[in-house]
Amino acid sequence: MLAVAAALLSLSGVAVAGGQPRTQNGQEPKLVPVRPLEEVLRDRTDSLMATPGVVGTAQGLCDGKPCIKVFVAKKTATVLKAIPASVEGYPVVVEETGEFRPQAPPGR
Amino acid sequence: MNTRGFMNSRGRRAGLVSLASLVVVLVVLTAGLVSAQGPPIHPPGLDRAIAAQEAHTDALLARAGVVGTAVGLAADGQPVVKIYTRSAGVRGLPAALDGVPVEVEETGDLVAQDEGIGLSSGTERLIVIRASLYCTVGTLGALVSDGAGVVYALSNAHVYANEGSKTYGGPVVTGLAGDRVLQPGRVDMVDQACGSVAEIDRAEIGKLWAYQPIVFSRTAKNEIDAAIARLSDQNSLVPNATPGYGTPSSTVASAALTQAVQKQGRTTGLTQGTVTAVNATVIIKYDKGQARFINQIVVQGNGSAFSAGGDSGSLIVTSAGNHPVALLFAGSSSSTIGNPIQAVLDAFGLTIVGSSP
Repeated sequence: MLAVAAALLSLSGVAVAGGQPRTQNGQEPKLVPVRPLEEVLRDRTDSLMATPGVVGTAQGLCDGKPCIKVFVAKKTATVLKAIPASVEGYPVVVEETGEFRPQAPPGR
Repeated sequence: MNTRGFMNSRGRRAGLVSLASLVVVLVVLTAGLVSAQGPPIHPPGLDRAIAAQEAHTDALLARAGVVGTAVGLAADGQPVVKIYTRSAGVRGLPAALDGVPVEVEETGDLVAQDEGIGLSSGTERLIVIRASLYCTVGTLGALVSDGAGVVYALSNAHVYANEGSKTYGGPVVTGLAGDRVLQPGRVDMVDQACGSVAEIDRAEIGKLWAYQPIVFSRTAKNEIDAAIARLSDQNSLVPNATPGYGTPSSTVASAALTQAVQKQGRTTGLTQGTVTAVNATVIIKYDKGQARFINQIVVQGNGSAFSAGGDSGSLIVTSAGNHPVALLFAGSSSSTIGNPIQAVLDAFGLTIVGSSP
């Protein structure tokens, strides 16, 4: 019941706590960002990074607009479902980077 | 074995003469003979010796037993062409070349060693895993100097101090001040796996001076993976220190989204890329464990990978103007991560040695 109500609220453009869930057709978020991206990122990074498979978050430009980048080891269905499509009006774009390692290889 | 140029800076042998000591020798020899007008900067006869060396080096190197040439000074201070031989008794060498005296010196084989920023570098510390040797390698990213003008080589802590390396049941391997820093790094040594004792001795460029320890946790707020080595020869990497893009500027720049950047590194050489993300929080998987870094810069290559294993420690600079932006330390096949360079410089109280502005 609660899930249905939340879905209806999202579709009508009202933000649901945690960010709008990803829609199948990648709809533009309805909210206009109010807070600076740096602040939003600072507040939301921990929760974004809590999803297994997420290896980083950052500020980016997506189609020329400020966005939140979420770096993942692999774009699995589970990971994608757990990451919101937008947060406080900023689009969230998932980038499959693989895991990050120091750039010094083992030698012999 | 390339031994071009009047200063044979490849390989460390007695008899190789640096410009500084040439000047010193000539000042000492001429003091008292001429009025004090300052030391001569260009010793007479040096041009002739250089010309003779350059004209004849190819032919000399083609001879069996000759391993290198250089220009040096004889005991009387006169410039000479030096011929280095693998062993004693190499026959048929000239006593003079184009009127310039020749001195023959038996040195044994010279291992060509490239020195400079953007090239292979590492530490002497080895890790032993299940009775086999494990050595790694990175890049000497930049020359930096402190308030007193002392020059250091800059790279990552995981390159110069073994930060992040696991202790495989043996002694702690994290760097200690005084550890030797090498160029090239042990992976690139040729006598044997991880280098022979002689190779390692020849490769020493200085001692590990300081490094930023990393906190290995997923909630840590690491900002830099950096270390500096105090150069034993304060002049040795200048002016040889010119990577693929020329000299870095001594004026740093803040990273900005869409900024065009480049780097010179040991593995992928000179590469071009774009800053695609800033203020990044990332988890880096070191051998020792995972470490979270905050406020990082993400670069992606234009067409091909911006970096690969072995490029750690490279200086990332703007494509226009060579302004340092970041210290490369981590990545994946698609993305490169760097510390903002100002955070690195602030941590150690340093500036980049480069051209101004």
